[in-house]
Amino acid sequence: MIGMGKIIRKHVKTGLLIAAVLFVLLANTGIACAEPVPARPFENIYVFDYAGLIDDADEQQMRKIAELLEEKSKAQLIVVTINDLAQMEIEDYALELFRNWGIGDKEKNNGLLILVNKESLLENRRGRIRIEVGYGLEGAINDGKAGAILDTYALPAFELGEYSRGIRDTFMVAAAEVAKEYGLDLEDENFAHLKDYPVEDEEVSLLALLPIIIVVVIFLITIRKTGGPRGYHRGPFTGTFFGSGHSRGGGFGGGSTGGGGASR
Amino acid sequence: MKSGFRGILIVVLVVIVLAVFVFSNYNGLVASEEAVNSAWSQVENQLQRRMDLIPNLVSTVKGYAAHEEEIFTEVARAREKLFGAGSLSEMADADRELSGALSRLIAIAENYPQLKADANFRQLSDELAGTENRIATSRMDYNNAVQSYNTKIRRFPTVIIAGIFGFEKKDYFNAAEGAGQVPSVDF
Repeated sequence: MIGMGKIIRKHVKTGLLIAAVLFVLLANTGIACAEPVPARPFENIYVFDYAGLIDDADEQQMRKIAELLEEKSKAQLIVVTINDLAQMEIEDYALELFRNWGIGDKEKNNGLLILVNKESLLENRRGRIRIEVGYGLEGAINDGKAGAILDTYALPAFELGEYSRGIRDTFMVAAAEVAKEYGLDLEDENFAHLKDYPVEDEEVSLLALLPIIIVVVIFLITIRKTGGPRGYHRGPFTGTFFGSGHSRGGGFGGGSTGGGGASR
Repeated sequence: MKSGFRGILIVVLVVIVLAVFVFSNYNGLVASEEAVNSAWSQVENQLQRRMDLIPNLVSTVKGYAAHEEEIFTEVARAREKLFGAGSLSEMADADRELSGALSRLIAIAENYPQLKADANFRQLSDELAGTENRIATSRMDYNNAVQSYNTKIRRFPTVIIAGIFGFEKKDYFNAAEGAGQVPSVDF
């Protein structure tokens, strides 16, 4: 009888252990299933051409500029091409990817994502491309400018089927705007060719945009004060899991976005 | 004598453990409630941002399509409704109505090629689409914050602390389905 009791107790222990392990595993898979966007890469190589749309030469060129920009300003410009949106809207997909990867510096939130979706691109319909702008770069590239960049540089090239050029040009203009924002000298030989990408002047007068600017400023002040969305809203992956916030060379910074940018 | 001392020690220990328990739970609840408040201020900021965009947008569209009065009244009415909304659910409903009205306002550009080509209009509709997207994002963040807060105040043992200090359940910012649609014109 005593032996029986022991055995049962032993089994209860093992059972509990198995249950605990199962629980942990299930909890993890639960999170994994909820993320249709690509997992956060361990190394940040700036251009992630999952859909194979970009030529090698363009890829190298973008990578070089992105590296320089990060080095000088901590801003992270990332290009991602994907085969399809996994039934999501391009806005939602971009937001999820941006936050899961943590693009941009954690404090400055100065990330920018250019997301290209091959499926819509080939079918020539909405959802082809999105520029998603982190909080910290909304001053450099507001929604109107993001839209204008796409209209001027991405769409005309896409119409001709020159996807790689469209993506490269879009990236270069965005890079030029970011460089300007941080006062990086375009005369510098490293950035010199960014000057070939002028952005059309704003057609809307500054006065008309004043209310928006004020709201953005208030918004930025509130998030700075409360530490609100930065610390709070990021998914379980950034921060805790990957220990972002510690500066690790070649990784992502843990930046966030509020959904700014434009899509076509 | 010895056992009396031990009794006191146990009582002191229990009190310390209890105090630590109350403090940490209370602080956790405060942090969680603050997260909800801060998330809400983002929602309000973005709603305000859209409000500020409307006059420009309406006047630009009027420049090309002045006789589409129905849609202008619809936008104005939805805007008033959002201003006057009392409860959170009223606000969410009004928000959805305004979103819908604005997306119809943008969509009439399909019938006016000149309007569609107008740089000013394109910029404003990008700003609007971006703002709608920000509203959707901040609403999602707010609802997530509320969910985590509401879960916390109902969970044992925090439920006791929440009961003592009067932490109350917060409302979600939810409109009926289709609320988060971004008004868009395929340029």
